[in-house]
Amino acid sequence: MTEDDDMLENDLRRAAEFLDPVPAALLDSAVAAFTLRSLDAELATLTFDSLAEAAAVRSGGGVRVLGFSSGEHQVEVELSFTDGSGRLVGAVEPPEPAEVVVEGASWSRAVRADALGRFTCAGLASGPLSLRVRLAAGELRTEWITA
Amino acid sequence: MTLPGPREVIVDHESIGRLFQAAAKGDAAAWRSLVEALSPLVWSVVRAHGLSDADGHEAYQTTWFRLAQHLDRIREPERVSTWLATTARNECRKIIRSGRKLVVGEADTFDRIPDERTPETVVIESEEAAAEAERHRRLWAAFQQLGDKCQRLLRVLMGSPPHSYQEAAAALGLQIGSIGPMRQRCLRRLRVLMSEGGGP
Repeated sequence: MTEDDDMLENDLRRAAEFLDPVPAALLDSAVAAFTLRSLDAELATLTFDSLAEAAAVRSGGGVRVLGFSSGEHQVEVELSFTDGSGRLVGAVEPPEPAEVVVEGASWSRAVRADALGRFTCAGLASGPLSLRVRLAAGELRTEWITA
Repeated sequence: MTLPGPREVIVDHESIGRLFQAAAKGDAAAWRSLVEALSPLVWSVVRAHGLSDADGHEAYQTTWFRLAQHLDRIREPERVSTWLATTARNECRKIIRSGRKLVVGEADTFDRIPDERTPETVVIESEEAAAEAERHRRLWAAFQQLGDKCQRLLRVLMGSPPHSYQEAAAALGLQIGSIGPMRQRCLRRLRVLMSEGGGP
């Protein structure tokens, strides 16, 4: 019956391709991600996410807490949504004034981090989100998350 | 016996590994081929988690955007499909945990991307394979009558190359050893549903 199983699975595979294909616009956005990479920026990886399985502690009030690290620098972010509109409050560690670009799949917004490294950005849409942080020492880029 | 994939896309781990390495060296065409070869897998993982269209699109995008960021960090290129399945699963679970899925059935109120079939698909369907299309629809209807666990497993397998149990296990958080027997059970059940529905 193994061969029959393989054939039936293959029929399903073909059916999925006809009836539930990957939307073309999505595929294009994945292709485009290659040219949109910031090759010069250092990747700050996600080191903490209050939505992760391991994070047993849930912050109250629907605030999601995220931490990114590139080794030398940390970026901490609190993200909350009210009626579909997102608000981000972040801080760069060690603190320094910086230019922060908040990026989505097809938009970006520039904000400033103050002398204490703090920054905010409101009116965000849900979806993929990444921060570019221009520090004196160079540029950081946080790993993409789904806001 | 090797069955041809839906579009004859080369999806064995070795070829995928080579594409990945070329992309990591800056080959944009290799990246495109990688996206084309493994998008059905990412999409099927998203579908298996039952997200709304809008949420599903976001999980799909985050997964691929992340891979682009990790091009020079993945140590085992031939396991990139498993990396994608795992990442997509994590994104889906976070979206579900965030509770921003308002209510079940909300999907219809999100912007739906309309029929995205390629012109080729439409032509094939209209001219050549009306009967096959009908068979697909009957198969799909039977599939949708399966229990949740079977739907999830089979949906992931549909987006995966044949015999890629490793990806399915990663996508669903199951032991790899459980995939084979479960697949067999689910396909058997699907056959029963097909015959009950007067299937082929």
